[in-house]
Amino acid sequence: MKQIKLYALLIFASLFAVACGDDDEGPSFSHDVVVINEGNFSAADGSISGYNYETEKVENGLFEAANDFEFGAIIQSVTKYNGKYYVVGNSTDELVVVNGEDYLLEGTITTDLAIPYKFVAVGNKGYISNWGTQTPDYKYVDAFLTVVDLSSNTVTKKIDMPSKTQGLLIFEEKLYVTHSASNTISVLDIDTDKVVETIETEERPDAMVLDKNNKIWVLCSSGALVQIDPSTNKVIKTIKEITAFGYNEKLVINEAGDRLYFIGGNEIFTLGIDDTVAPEKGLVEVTTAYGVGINGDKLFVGDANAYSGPGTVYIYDLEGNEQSSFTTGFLPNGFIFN
Amino acid sequence: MRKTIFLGIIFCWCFQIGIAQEQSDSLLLNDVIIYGIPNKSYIVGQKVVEVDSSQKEMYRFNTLAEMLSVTTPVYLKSYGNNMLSTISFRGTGANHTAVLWNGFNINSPTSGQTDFSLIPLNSADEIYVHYGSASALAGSGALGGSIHLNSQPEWGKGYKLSLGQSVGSFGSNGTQLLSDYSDDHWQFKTKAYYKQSDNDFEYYMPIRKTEIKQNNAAYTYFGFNQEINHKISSSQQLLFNAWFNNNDRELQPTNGNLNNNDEQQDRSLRLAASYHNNSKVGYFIYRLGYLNDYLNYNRSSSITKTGQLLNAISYEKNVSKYFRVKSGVMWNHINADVDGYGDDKQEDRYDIYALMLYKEGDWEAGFNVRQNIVSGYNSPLAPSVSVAYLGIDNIKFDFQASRNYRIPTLNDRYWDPGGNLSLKPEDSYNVEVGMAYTEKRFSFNLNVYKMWVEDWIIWIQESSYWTPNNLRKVHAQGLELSASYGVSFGKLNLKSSFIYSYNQTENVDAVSAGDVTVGHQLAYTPKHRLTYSLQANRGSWYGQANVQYTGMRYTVGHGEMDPFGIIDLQLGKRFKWNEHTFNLAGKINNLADQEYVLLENRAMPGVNYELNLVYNFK
Repeated sequence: MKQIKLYALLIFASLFAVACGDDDEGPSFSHDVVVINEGNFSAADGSISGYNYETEKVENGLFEAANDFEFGAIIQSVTKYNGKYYVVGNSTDELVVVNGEDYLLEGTITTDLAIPYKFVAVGNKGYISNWGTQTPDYKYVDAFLTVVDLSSNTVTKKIDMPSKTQGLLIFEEKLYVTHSASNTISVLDIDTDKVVETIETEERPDAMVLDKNNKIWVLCSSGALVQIDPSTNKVIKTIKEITAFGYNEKLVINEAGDRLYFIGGNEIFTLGIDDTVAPEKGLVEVTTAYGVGINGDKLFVGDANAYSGPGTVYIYDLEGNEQSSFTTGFLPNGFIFN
Repeated sequence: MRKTIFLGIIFCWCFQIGIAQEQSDSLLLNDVIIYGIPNKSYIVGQKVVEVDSSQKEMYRFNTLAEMLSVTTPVYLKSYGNNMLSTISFRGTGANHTAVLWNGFNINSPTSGQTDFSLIPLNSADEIYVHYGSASALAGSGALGGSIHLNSQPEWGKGYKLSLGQSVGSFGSNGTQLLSDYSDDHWQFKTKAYYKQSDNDFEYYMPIRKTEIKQNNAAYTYFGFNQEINHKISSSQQLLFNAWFNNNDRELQPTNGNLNNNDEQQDRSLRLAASYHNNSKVGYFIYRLGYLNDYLNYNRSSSITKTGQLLNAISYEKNVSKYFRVKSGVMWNHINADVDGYGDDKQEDRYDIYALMLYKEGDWEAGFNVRQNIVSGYNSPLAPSVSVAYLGIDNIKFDFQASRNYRIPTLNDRYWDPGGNLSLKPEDSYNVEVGMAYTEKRFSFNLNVYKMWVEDWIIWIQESSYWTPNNLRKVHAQGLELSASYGVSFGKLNLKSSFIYSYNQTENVDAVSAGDVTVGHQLAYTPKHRLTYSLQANRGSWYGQANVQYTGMRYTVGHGEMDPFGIIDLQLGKRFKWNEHTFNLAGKINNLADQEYVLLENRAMPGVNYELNLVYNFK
């Protein structure tokens, strides 16, 4: 009898453990802001979080809650296009297509990708930049662009590139591709997918944005902001002595298109498009500045918290006064504003 | 007779316990008797379990990580199949379990941890799991528990030979050799082993709705143990043991990452020599050890080399019929040549300890104390007080209270940049009670503990680099409940045993903004674990099933990882001709093909198979 009681107790205890585990729900409210959480390198736990301005509520792990499994990837970037989220899984060589309403998985592209970084699209055509094959000493060779047909989510073409491809920007039938291991930007014609021009910049050009005058700004990891005129593909001006992040740069522009925000060290710096010298000091500083976004009069900063735990998102006014904050996933590296 | 069965230990202990009892009843220790792990008789009020010989047989071609995770309450955190596997014992961290090889702590002096995937199971003769805090006995880091790997001299057994071959799934095969000769004065024992595996198992990726194949997880390891033991006289012995192990492996990346080609080589040489002299004056032991560890990460992108020279002397005496004392000192000189330190670092660590055992009638009491001295900082004095009462039929009650510590690792102190020379040792208090009921076929154990750890060292980012600090405060409590039952139906013998463990380990303080772990269970420490084992034999047939269930675990980001259960099954037959025996066994691991991970996004294999053939002479 003693034994039977004991066994019963053990079985009960294990049932209790299982019973305590379950409580998933889908996303419960609309999200004004989607936070992209890159994920911890050793756990590949990239995720997306949603934030609502009115309720000030945040929901983490939106994709996992909707699909019952996680991305399981390092997420370098997410692009919203035609009501869908295109999620670039950098560790898994994946482009994951997610429904913009309910976060359900719509498709996964897994072919012809090698350490992808960024996605942009025009019409029915998507482009993905790939770092290429990683060598044992952490260099990248055989960089390329992947061209995707968005109606069928299939790869239509691979375009060889001269060097590690990073940032992508489409403007007036042209695709601009930064090569973050050199000092060049390739310009492609999107009808022919051929390189039509190569622009020389400072070393290690990375992130790009377009200003209100239709000029392209490039943040270079070597510490420079370069303004390019896409009508001539010539450099207009170069602002040196910029404090940059060092790699995988983050650069955004306000809605008016006249003020840049970017990460330098653990600070957020800002620069007007007519400025000619680098800003001397940052607007705000956090523990580990990792992501930046600008939405109207709100500045969003993703803090990776020393890479040692879940990230924090801080919301500031444009003078840099903190308004609120919330906890998000690991390494918040960007924002999408709906 | 009942009194001789004095610890509520489930498995095959009786032999050693008998010896221990005999010895303590006589005032003079005439013969040198080496029994079990060093200082075992001074462990009062706590549970020590020797790993069952049939478990060792079942996992003889596997590593300690695989065996412990299926058969004991400890949780192994593995970065994949046969990848870096660190332990969590009673809910504590990876460097809160002391791992001792013939009495020498073999936790890496640089990281303070042992990678249990680097310890092939058959490299140790005896494996003991000592539950609970015991720094006074086992030194620094013995907070959750201690694992003891031991060799045991034998005399007059003649010649024994054993050859083993294993083939298994994922292109794995293993080979083992044992040659052992002993007469009344000498023993020469050689063990050699080799195992390699492509380890290219498939795992499911839900986001792709398909399985993919592991492409960077192959491993090869080999090594040998050499023992030379000499019995000079009935009161003197000289023992020598050398253990060499080399492991080359590709490092399994996170799921779906097919670009990664990281690899690592680990190589260790461990030497232990001891001289035992037992006379009317007392029992002296002098032990000399040398531990050399080499780690080459990713084609020399980071190399870690350490050497430790250990000298230990101890003296033991039966002061009276009831009272026995042992006292000793140990000196450990460490030399570390680590890429991350800038230049070579030396550290000297001294331990001085006294162990006291009092036994009278149904009572046993232990008082142990250890002081550890390291140049540059002071460790807390680590005493323990324990009592055991055996006065009620078949039932034993245990109590232990102790203060324990863990000293900073060399990485904590010397890593450049970040190393922090002003770190204090971690400081911990433990109190536990236990109850054991033992009868012929049935045994039952319950141990309940509470533990407080202060000055827990964690690395945080302070400026542009990381640095360790005594920041974390942890409160742990839990219990282990075990039972075993043996029964025979004619020729069929069955033995089944359960262990259920509950460990609640909580962070008491926030260490940074956004620290969501406060008040919650520590990451990767399951609250609930259950293991069940059924062993059966009938004539020359033998079989064994091991089942383990692991409850929900939090990830570092406070996500929840699903509970899982694993079933390992073995069936074998013994063929015997005179002194020749063949054991042929088939083994199915993860019978239910359970998908599971021990760390987030680090796949583990589904159902897989092993066929083992072992030839024994004698």
